[in-house]
Amino acid sequence: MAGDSKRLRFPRYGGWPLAELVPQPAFGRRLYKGTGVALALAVLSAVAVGPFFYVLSISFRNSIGLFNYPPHWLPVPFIVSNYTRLVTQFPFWRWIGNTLLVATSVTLIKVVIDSMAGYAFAKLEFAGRRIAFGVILLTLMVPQAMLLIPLFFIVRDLGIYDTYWALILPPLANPIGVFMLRSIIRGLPKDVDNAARVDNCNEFQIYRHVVLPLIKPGLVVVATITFVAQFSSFVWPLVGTQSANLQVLTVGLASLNPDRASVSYGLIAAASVLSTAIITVVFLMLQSQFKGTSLLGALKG
Amino acid sequence: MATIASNPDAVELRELSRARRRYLLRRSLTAWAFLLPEVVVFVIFMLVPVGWVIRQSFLSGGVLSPARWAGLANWKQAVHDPMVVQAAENTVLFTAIIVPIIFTLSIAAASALRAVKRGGAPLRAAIYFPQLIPSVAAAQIWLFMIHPDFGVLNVVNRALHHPPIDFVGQPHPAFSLVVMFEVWRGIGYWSLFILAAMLAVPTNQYEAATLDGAGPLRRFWHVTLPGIQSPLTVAVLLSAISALQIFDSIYILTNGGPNGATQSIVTYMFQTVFQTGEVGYGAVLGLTFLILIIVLTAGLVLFVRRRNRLQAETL
Repeated sequence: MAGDSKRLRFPRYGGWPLAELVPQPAFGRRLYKGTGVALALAVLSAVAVGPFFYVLSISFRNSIGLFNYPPHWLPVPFIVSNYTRLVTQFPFWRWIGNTLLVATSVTLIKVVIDSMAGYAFAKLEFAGRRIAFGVILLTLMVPQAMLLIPLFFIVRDLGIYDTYWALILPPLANPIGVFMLRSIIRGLPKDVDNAARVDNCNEFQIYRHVVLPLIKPGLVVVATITFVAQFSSFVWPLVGTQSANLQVLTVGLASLNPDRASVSYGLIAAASVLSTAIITVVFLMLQSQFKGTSLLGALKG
Repeated sequence: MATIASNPDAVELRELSRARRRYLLRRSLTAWAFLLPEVVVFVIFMLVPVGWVIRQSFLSGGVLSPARWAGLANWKQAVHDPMVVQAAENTVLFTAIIVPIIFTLSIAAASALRAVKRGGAPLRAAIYFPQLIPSVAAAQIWLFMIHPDFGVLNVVNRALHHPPIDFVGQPHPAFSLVVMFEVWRGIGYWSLFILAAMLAVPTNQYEAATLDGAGPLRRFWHVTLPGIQSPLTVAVLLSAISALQIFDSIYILTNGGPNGATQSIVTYMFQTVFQTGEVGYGAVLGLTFLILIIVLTAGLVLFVRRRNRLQAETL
């Protein structure tokens, strides 16, 4: 336990618990306990990442290698044609490009408008504040699937059906970011913005030059959550667009049906692996913005 | 009036209150200026659609045929629809199974992650990983895992000389497939959330408990759990709300089948609208569900507040 002051510290060899495996009878019980925790975590993380590695292995097989019994865990024979076919015969890069464009736009706009709204709710007194916030809280419970049809009609009436705008604008209404940023901004000491007010800053200057720099970790969290959710979003892009040029990754992936002659299981696996790899890279890039803190610290509502 | 006007104090007072009103107005205007962009998208893409759904629930006729006023006909239909009952049962059952499993495992994982001294970062990353995989790809991955011929789960089955399980075609396996998938995806997020809450518990409480002779289990029960009570409640509430809205995983894995065994309220609503075209009826289903969620959540919040004096701002 982290708070256990009596916990014995083993010399750091920089490696895995090997250092703790040095047989020292006095530590027997602690050794046993530590192994149990490590084992449990190893099993849990194996279950978490295992399915992905199984699909990774499938993505390098042809259909004959796949149906062998007893199964080989490693791809034998090893082929890469699933990947080459995916990027040559299917508009995979187009799907990725569309997804990145839409997810980036949504994330950038959302971080700006959500932090502005969060600032107003956290630091400003105004008429209608409680009602406005109550309405926003209530809509957190609205299932997205319920809004698909009205959104379809609204988007059509605005004349943006089957355009990038149809993919970018509706997701902006999701209020979860306002909710999170409000609680983060509320956590800032009052003295910070009051000091700026005394120095004759207007509210926008306070927001831009005092609050925003202070809540950067929170902004990165909201950006990460928005981006990952947007990367994964499937049903609205399916309803809001129809032309092949606008297909995002998830819609493209779903169109890869093993019943189609040109689609093999290996190809589907390759597509799943590639798309997971791309979002993981983006996620790690966003995470590196933290410098010292991590998503964990700021996830708290 | 004239007498008041001639009284210098009153004039000053009135000037002051006018200045104050002007100040208040200005302050409100500033705040609404900050809110403006959010309010615009929120009204167009959230409030208007919700209003549209409410209006539509009283209309008959589809998207293509002209709408007619139907009064409460749609609502009456919902009361007598056996599939509504089944979908509601499934949804509650999904929530009642998924949420406790996720939180039992997440609390265990968070405790273990906190106890581990080295290698914490890669382990956290590994446990969070399923969250990152795009939903469609994640579902594809699980369809591989359960494939009758080469899925891992069925390879194990075959080694034990059992016939392969048809996870998509049979009611109970299909149900457990959805549960497995949701638990697999959910643990990463919530165990990191709980870990963050655990790390915020002051260490001197543990030291005091250790001095008093409390072992790891008692420290967990009497220090850790009370220490994370309020974030844990919020977490359970949020995950229950999202579990009640279960849709994506069912849509991709089983599409509600076989024979409605995995049909949730939201998937049934989606099918009603997009596969049979009954927009008004779908709207009623959506609204019933929304009211149900709001009532459940309000009940939970009130219950929790009364029990734990949870501060209003946490929720």
